[in-house]
Amino acid sequence: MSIIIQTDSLKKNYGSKVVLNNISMSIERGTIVGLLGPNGCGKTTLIKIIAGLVKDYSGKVLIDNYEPGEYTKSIISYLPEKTYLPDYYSPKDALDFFEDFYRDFDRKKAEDMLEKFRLDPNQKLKSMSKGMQEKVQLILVMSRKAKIYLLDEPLGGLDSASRKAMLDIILDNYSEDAAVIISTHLINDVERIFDRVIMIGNGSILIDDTADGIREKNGMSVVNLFEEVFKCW
Amino acid sequence: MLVKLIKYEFKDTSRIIPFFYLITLMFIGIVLFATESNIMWFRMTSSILLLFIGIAVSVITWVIIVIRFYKNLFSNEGYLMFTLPVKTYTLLTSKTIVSICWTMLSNIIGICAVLIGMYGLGIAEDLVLISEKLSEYRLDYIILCVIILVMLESLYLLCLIFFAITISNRSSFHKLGIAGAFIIYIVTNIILQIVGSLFSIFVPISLDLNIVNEISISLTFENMFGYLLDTFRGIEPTNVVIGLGGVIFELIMICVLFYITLENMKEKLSLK
Amino acid sequence: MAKDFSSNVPIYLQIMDHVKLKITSGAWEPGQRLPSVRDLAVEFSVNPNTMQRALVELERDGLLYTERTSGRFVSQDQQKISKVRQEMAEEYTDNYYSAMQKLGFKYEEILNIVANKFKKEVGDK
Repeated sequence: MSIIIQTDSLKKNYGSKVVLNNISMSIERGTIVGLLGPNGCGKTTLIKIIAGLVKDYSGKVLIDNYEPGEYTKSIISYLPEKTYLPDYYSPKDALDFFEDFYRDFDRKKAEDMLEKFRLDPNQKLKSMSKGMQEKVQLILVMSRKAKIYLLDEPLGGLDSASRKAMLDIILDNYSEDAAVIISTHLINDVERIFDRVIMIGNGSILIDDTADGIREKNGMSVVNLFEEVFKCW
Repeated sequence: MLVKLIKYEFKDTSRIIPFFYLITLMFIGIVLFATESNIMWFRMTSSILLLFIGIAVSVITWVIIVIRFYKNLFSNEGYLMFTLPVKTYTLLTSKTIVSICWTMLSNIIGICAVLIGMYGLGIAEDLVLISEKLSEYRLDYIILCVIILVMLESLYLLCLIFFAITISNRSSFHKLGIAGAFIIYIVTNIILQIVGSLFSIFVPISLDLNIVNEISISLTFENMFGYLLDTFRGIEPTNVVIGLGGVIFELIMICVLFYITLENMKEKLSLK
Repeated sequence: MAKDFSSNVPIYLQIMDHVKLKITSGAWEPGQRLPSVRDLAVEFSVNPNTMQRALVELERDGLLYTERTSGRFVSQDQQKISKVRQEMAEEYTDNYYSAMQKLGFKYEEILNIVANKFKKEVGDK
């Protein structure tokens, strides 16, 4: 398994606040990684740096051996926590857009998923509920055949049936070439699909282990360990 | 990729800007009709309104462009735009090109509206007189120069606001929020105006207007300072010297601002 | 159809137990071809790497075998399967016995309870 994301002594401050403190980690192809931590602890910043949205960091970040830039953006499919499509777009407009800019976009797959979730491709996003908007975005992101999927809270606004459906989509998309990084609060639902778990607190990596390793060493689930680690935060 | 970005930029801005063109055209129609109908108050009111609309078109276009720039790159949509597999240079250039197109179009429509407004007010004959006088002295290229200067000024203001918005996105300015962009814009504008004026006065490239015998304009390599000094001392000027340094400065600054904006977008981006 | 896995114990071990059950109970017949790792992973709703690890372990234990071009199959070794079935039976029994002991039952009482249960089952038939 080769390494597709590598960070070395990555640091990022916002003014005097240290958000990322010497983060060194590597992520291999063909793994599903859980990025866990309380809010404001730096995991979103880490994801933004990998995605190329934050450029003024110090330290090294290599994605498929390239620094964040045009190439890395072409192989990363990023789902942010917020709605990033213009609200006057419809799913169809978004499909056109993605098809135009991303060579690895599978339009048929996206259309099938929209149908499966009973989303009207011509309905403007602003008239959709938040949950529906999130589904549309997740469908767009997962319809790309990318090498890295960066999912920031992909299950947030979904009911439990939709969450299950989304997890199936993520698993179904698994490829030995691709890495999936999921940052989430809903550890309960998701921990069974993690290969690895990285827990970040106060800008530092507190735990970096395989999911089953955590279970073996601690005799508890990942979510329980998480609660243990962060109980005093 | 540049073409695709330009396509989408036009698509998204065409939702609003042409709407104002429509209003302007409507009013042009109204004024023309009013002039034919010869109802004095109708003609006067609509013409004055048209004058305001002519100016408003350019202003509103500028505002829309600015809001679009901020919203599309530095608000939530920025998460989409900045993760596209394109070079930052392409992103900025596409926006600049489309903004210039709309700005020029708005200026042209605005000028037409103002001219027709003047026609409605009956000032048109005076304008025709002036332009005839100018062609008599073979100076009609002045009109062209004025138009070019207006375009230059629009381009300059665009670069300035793009610069301000991009700089205000730096991590260190996050605390200021949107106000940061305004502050940077105003401060930079003031500083550059001052420097620009100094350039106008001291850079030795000027227009020399000879108004004594005939009206002629020539390019000279003197600076404006001497002329200003004379004026202060109350000495009657034989020639009017207008420094071109300010224009040159603006041209240079457009390139400089664009470059700095680009560098900041590439290296100092920090989306919230 | 996700299997209900506890998150407190390594998932690959739970998958192994589950597959062992399928094999020893005959739900998966000897020589039967398994679905792909990916399909199984989606069916169980687990990470494909975890599924792979479980299957590899079972191969090592002799309950599965791989034919390079054709895929993975359930072992045809009836003896092996019987042996594992036996092991599982003993494990269940051990667990039952320990649990009953914890409740305070003695050996004869446990025997009676089991005998009664047996009679009832047979009687119902």
